[in-house]
Amino acid sequence: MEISIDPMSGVAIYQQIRDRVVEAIARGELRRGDPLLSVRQLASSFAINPTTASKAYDLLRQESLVASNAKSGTFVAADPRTSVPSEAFMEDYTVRLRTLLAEGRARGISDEELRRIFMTLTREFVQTGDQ
Amino acid sequence: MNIGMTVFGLATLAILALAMVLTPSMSRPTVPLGVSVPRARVNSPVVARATSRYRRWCIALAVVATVGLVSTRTHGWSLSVWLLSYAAAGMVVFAVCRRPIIAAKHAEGWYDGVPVRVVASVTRQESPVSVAWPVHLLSIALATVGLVTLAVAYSGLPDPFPVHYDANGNADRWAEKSLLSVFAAPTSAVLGSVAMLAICLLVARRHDPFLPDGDPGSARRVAGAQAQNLQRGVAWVSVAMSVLLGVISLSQVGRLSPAATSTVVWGATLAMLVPTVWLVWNSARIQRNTPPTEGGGPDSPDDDQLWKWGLFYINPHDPRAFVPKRNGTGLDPNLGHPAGQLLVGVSGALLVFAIASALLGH
Repeated sequence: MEISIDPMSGVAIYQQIRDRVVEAIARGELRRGDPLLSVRQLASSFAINPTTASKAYDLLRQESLVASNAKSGTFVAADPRTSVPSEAFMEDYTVRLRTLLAEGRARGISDEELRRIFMTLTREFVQTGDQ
Repeated sequence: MNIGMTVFGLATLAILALAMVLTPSMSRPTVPLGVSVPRARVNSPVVARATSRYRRWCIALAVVATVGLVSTRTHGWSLSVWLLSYAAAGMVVFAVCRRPIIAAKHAEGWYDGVPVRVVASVTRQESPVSVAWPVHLLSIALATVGLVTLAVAYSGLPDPFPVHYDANGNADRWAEKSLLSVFAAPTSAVLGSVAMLAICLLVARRHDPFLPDGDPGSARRVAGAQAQNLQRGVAWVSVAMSVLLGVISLSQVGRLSPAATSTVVWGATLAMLVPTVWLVWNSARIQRNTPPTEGGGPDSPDDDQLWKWGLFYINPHDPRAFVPKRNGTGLDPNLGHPAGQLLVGVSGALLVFAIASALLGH
């Protein structure tokens, strides 16, 4: 399962890795139980400091999307088929999404265009995440 | 230096010159002379001029080294000094000829607005590169033949046992016949073949970033073909080394005359260069014959700051001790990694020792 990052982006590399893994889980390309590379292997894959690779996994662990143990290493801990979002998560997610949508609206993106973008993106996840 | 050594020296110089001249052809087109450039600039006039200039200098220096080698062939230091000098001069020429590309890139903002990406896997994937197992097993078998031959003939071997020969095939150092003196070299040959296989297995399982180079489809095909070419080439070099060491063992058993020993050993040594030539030539052919794909894609990032003079990779944040070569095919040490520093330090010390030995005639 390959992901691509932009080393020139203003977004930190560990954040980009975290974001791409989340998107892969949403699309169903990564499923619960799928093994991930170790921190060192991930660092070698991207030619980055192991501390940066570790930060990416830390973010994913905090969100319970990834877990680690001595026997299995690091693996995907959640996916659309098996996860049930908590009320706290839904509240937080709604707050963040409100801000994201507001950013577009504030820049002049119309309601219709916002809905179109939303539908296009969710269609991408729904089609593969349910397979 | 005898005729065999002179021919070997000239052949090695020719192969070194071929590798240096073909280095731009073996390398990714987006790193001409070790300078990162976007795909759209690969055919820029400044790149073509710099590459052409570099190649002309490589050929001119090869002519100088050839004349120098032939005219000083009676001296023991001739081969090592001229080969090393040519390699060093080639590096200087490389570092100088790339400067116009760097200047043009900065002056014209070649990377302004160019999307760049690095691609890598987050899951364990089956390596697309297969190790040339049959060839490695052949190498181990050939090395074992030498060992077994000496074991069978052990009782009839001379005591003291010759452990070193000069360039004319005359034994010039002896040791008391023992398991160590007789079997050290052929055992090393077997262990060396096994070590080459182990190294190839490790290389096949590497995790490296994939660089899209503005044409991910083509870049992926080339990277895969180059990796496979390297596996096959190294395996055949291992076979050639086993053949050479096996020939030496058999010549000791066969009690060949010094002239016959010299001919056979130098012949096997020259044959050892064949897989190297094949590896270099095929690497350039892969780059040349891989067609571009439609549509293009993101470029690879400009990482010139990680490559000193375009030749030496220095990145203390990268956990890899070895990285894919920027120029040519194979791996380069990461001089920002302790293991890379140790390797270069030890290699440098051995080189200095070899040059000093040659100059002092020991």
